[in-house]
Amino acid sequence: MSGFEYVRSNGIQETLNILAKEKEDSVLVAGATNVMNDIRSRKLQNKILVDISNIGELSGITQEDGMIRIGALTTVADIAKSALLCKQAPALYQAAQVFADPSTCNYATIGGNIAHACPAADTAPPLLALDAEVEIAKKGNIRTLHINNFFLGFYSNQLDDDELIVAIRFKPQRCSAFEKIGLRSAMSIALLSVAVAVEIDQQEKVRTCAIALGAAAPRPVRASHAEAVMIGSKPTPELYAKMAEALCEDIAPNPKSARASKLYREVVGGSLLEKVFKNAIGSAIE
Amino acid sequence: MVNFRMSENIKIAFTLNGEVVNLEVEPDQTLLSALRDNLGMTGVKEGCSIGECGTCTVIVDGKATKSCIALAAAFDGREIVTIEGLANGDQLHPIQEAFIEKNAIQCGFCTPGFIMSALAYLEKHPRPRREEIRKAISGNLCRCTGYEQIVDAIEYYANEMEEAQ
Ligand SMILES: Cc1cc2nc3c(=O)[nH]c(=O)nc-3n(C[C@H](O)[C@H](O)[C@H](O)COP(=O)(O)OP(=O)(O)OC[C@H]3O[C@@H](n4cnc5c(N)ncnc54)[C@H](O)[C@@H]3O)c2cc1C
Ligand code: FES
Ligand code: FES
Repeated sequence: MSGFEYVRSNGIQETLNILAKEKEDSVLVAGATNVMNDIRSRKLQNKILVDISNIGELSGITQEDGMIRIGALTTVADIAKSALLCKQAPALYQAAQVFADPSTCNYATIGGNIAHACPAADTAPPLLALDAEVEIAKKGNIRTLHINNFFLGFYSNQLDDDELIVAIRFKPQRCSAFEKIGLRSAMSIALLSVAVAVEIDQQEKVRTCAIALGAAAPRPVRASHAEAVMIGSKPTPELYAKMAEALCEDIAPNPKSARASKLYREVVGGSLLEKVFKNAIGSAIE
Repeated sequence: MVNFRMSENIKIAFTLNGEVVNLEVEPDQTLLSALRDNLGMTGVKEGCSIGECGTCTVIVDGKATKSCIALAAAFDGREIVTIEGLANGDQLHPIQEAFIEKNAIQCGFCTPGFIMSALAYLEKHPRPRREEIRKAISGNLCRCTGYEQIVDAIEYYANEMEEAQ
């Protein structure tokens, strides 16, 4: 006896009704790449599997009123092919290029990626750097949450049992970039990942700057110490060295993390961040 | 004491290797198990069962799909191709011939998965560069042959198809 039930939902409203009724007994299934492993490892048991994978209105990348909007069900493969994101949000586009292997990308959705709230989730640092907002719906209500308030801690997020991520929105940021370090190029979970979005003023000084890290802490985080060093100054080798030093304050992995030590992440992090920062500035010049 | 749900089987139908099949699956059954256990498609191999090795790869609506991390019930109405759907009677598919020709098979356990990943990719990118082939099969692991011969075989097949055009 598996203890599971299955329902296929064909629309957003139908999903919200099911969630309102079943609450913590339900679990949403999008691409299933995390859910199936959680079923197998018995992390999930005795649930109603609410299959949302066929809801067309949850998928797609659009631009309106100066904002880019990505439906929760949009796959990483779709993001990796998007000419719009390549130009207007390179950090997210680049994260999709190095995400898993092609067949995983065909199913992995952006909504599932952030909902799973893995500290190393590859779309998280770009979305943090892009100051994204998450559109969340439940029966009779829609709310918007800044992505930085969405992640709570190790594999946990702010979603209530009856809530559905509908979409993710952000302003275009041409000057942004992403890179990750992993042990094997395909399917490798990040040991550390960095996303940067910057604006440079006429005097070549950093006007605004957002730096975000994956796998550096129990949840994806903004690197506020490193950001503070850069804002208002002109990037020089000395400034980059200071940024790398400040970054150590931002790196606080789970001490039990078996994948890499704090020291490894600090040493590698500084040079990785400098590289990504320069790439982000470089996309302005291109 | 947890109260277990009375799980009911789900009736689904999909096209398998060109023919419509009807089946009943458990709510949490994997597509891999449905293909092997309900439908006898044992060419779909179970390696790691957690999405890491690619031996269970099939093609769904043109897309490479790891059936071990796919929920069978969600595949109602889809079009699925497994390695069993490639040969025409005793006549192997040219990509299968290419794997033999280029010595890309030792134990053969990984071969169906590599072939399905390659075919899904080549369908949309008929003239691949070697690096593109590598990326297309990057979700597939082989423990005995090594990857050079496998890339050779896929390249050889792609060139053959190109010449046949
Ligand atoms: C082989 C392999 C390689 C991987 N490589 C990477 C990698 O390189 N980088 C990376 O970041 N991840 C990776 N992953 C993890 C996984 O693929 C991603 O997290 C993926 O984006 C999850 O999306 P999904 O649609 O498959 O989610 P699902 O498994 O369907 O769902 C995941 C969780 O999100 C919830 N959920 C899904 N959609 C919604 C929604 N719209 N609203 C609210 N909750 C929702 C589900 O209830 C569940 O709790 C890998 C996984 C595998 C198996
Ligand atoms: S058995 Fe499916 S990926 Fe290994
Ligand atoms: S031929 Fe044996 S695993 Fe690839």
